[in-house]
Amino acid sequence: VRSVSPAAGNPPQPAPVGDVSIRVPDGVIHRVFGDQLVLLNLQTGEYHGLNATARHMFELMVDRSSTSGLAADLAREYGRPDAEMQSDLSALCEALSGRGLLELEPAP
Amino acid sequence: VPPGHGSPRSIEPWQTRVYGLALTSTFPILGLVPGGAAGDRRGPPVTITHSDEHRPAAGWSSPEVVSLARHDRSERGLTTSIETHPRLGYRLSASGFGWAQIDARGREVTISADAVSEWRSQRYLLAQVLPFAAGLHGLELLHAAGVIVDGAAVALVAGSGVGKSTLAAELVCAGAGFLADDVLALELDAQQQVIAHPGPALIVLTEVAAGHLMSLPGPAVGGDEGELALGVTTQPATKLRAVVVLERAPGDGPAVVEPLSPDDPRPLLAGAYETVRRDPARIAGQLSLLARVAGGARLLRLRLSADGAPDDAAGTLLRTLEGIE
Repeated sequence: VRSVSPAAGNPPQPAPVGDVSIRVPDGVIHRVFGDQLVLLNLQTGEYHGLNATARHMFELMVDRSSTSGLAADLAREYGRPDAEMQSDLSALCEALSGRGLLELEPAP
Repeated sequence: VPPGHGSPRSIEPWQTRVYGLALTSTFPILGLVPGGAAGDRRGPPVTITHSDEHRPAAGWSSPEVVSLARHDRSERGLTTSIETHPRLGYRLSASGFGWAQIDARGREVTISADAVSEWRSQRYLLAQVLPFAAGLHGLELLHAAGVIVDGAAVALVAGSGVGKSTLAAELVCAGAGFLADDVLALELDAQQQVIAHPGPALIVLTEVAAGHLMSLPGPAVGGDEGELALGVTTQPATKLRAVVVLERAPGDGPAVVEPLSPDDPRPLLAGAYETVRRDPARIAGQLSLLARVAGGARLLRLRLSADGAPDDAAGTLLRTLEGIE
């Protein structure tokens, strides 16, 4: 199980994803284990783990099918700057889409 | 079970329950008794028959056959394989044990003994063929012994040779109920609770391991080549309360129990007994069930010292389980 972190270490800052539509591909299965969310990419056979914070972000994105307004909501919830939440959200989206765990499309 | 070649004798069809299946057989199977565990629930029907044909049935040499797994254990002179055919289903074989064919729906099992003893043939049936058939019906299998403590099932997960059967034997001698020796079949019931099903009513130990026990949990009913099969009584399917992952540690210190995080699925995924079928429906079902296990059962690690006495480990585990709701 590989860990997927929204901001592991100090990686280069990803470009903000902006408002995008979110879709979990058909070949991806996710289930809750304790506080963690485990995602399985059936194409690659690899399991991935999201910690509690990343899991919360993921579940909100999937519930809304979009990132629209999400960074601002998370900033209020965690008491952090909007820009920091936008950066974390972008990093998570990039990490997940790069592993085939999320499909991103520009919001209509 | 007498040594030597020979097919099992055919008898009138009889019914039993094992690994969550409602099994009908036309020959006696060691460790399975008519009716199964008293009070056990019904399961999907599976019929098993014996064939005297030693060659593969027609179709198993066609290009449509796909090899799912093949292992050559040259040090033991053993080759095992699992193949699938879109219409014929599955074919399992093990050199020196025999082969079995299971139809694609898992309803019809045919087995042919190729074994040096009837015990080996039946061991292959009990440990490989019937668990595979159970998997085709959606049951998930842990490489685990299963016991019942204070009315709830406890899975003792470990690979071969770590000591799960010996520990199960000690726990049964200490008053625990018995579910399974080597393979524990799990499924979700209507209330989405994880249920552990009884396996064959046998505990198989090496003669060396049996010699370390203070007492035996049942009479010797079979075995060969240093293995001893002890007859025990299985209990009906029971809600799973705890999963204990067994590990061997060097030295001779006392056995130690520690909690495992439910956040980490790896110990449970590593405990899966059948990893051959990788179709999406099976994998999704496996992950769903293991997530329910992580959410509803206590997860523990039991470190067994290499030289520790099995009764010490059993006592340590029982004291830990007493404190778990």
